[in-house]
Amino acid sequence: MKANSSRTKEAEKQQCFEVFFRANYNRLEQYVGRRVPHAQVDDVVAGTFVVAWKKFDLVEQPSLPWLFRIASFEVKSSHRKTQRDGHTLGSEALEGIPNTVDEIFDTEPLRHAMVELSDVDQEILRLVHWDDLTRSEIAEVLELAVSAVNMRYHRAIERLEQRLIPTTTSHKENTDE
Amino acid sequence: MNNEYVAERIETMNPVTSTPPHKVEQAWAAFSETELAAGRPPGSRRVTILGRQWSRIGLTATLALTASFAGVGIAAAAKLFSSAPVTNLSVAHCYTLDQIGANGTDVAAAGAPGSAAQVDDALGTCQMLWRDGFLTAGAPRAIHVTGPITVHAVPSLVVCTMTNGTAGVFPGDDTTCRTLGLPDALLSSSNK
Repeated sequence: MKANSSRTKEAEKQQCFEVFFRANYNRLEQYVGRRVPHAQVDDVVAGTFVVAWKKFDLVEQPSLPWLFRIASFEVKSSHRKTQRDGHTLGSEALEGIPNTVDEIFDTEPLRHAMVELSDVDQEILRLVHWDDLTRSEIAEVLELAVSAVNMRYHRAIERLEQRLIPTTTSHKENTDE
Repeated sequence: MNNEYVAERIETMNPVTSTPPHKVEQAWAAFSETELAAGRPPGSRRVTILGRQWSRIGLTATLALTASFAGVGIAAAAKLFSSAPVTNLSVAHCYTLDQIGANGTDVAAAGAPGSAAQVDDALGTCQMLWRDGFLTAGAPRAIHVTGPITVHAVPSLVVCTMTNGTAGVFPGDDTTCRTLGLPDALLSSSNK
């Protein structure tokens, strides 16, 4: 009787997890794809879901930000492993960012300015502009207050602008010549 | 330069904006097979291949994706090599059996001779002949229908390229041309 009840509970957990997995897979895969080299994406996503499965019945309301938070640890672990293997992260981080050039703005300086920012600044910009999360969701991912998220974001974007100003000025001067 | 402008530019640099369709299905299949199977501790098994460690589900997902891409590639290549363009656009033939022989009728299809319509319309014209009762299964030739035309069942038809380069329209399915030793009809670029 007790065994039956346990099996039913496990089956229910699996059903709920399947719904959660299917609902969030694409967003998670894209989140990871923006942070690790292409060859490691599947592994990091899979590792994230393994952890999520283990903790699934320990959280009241499993959510996308909760999943992203787990993924952030898996991403860090993947970066550490990459560094241990002797690869550098800087060049790989640049690889994923397309260099789209238009008539008004060359994105090359922006790409470099972003990579030169601290990890914290880069992460907040990615969460806001690429991962399409609300500020309160970001607060959940980073375990911060919403006001702290806003402050961190504004500081990051200001620092990015500061890095861009000399570059774009010299770029413009070169063009004028 | 203002914050909004920079923010907009950051958004255009987003390196990942979509996930391949069906990937979630493959990932779920791999996950449930390796992690949810009864009595297996989650995430316990790791495999070392080519000097790196893979989680079982990461490996399974990667292999599943690779296999599916390879399968699609092989199928596409097989399809390409089993297809041939219709080069003789002067006439087409509607068959009433899935056999090459004296059955069915020639159609000087609608559309100018030598035009793409000749081939495109070969299928349409044959379908019309079946629907209007001019063709019936196994008939050696088209029947002359008198009186009011009634609607008849149209079998599944397939277009093959005959050895003389004309289009042959047979009752059958995807496998019919291959069974008859003929390539599937492929419109050449000049016909489009």
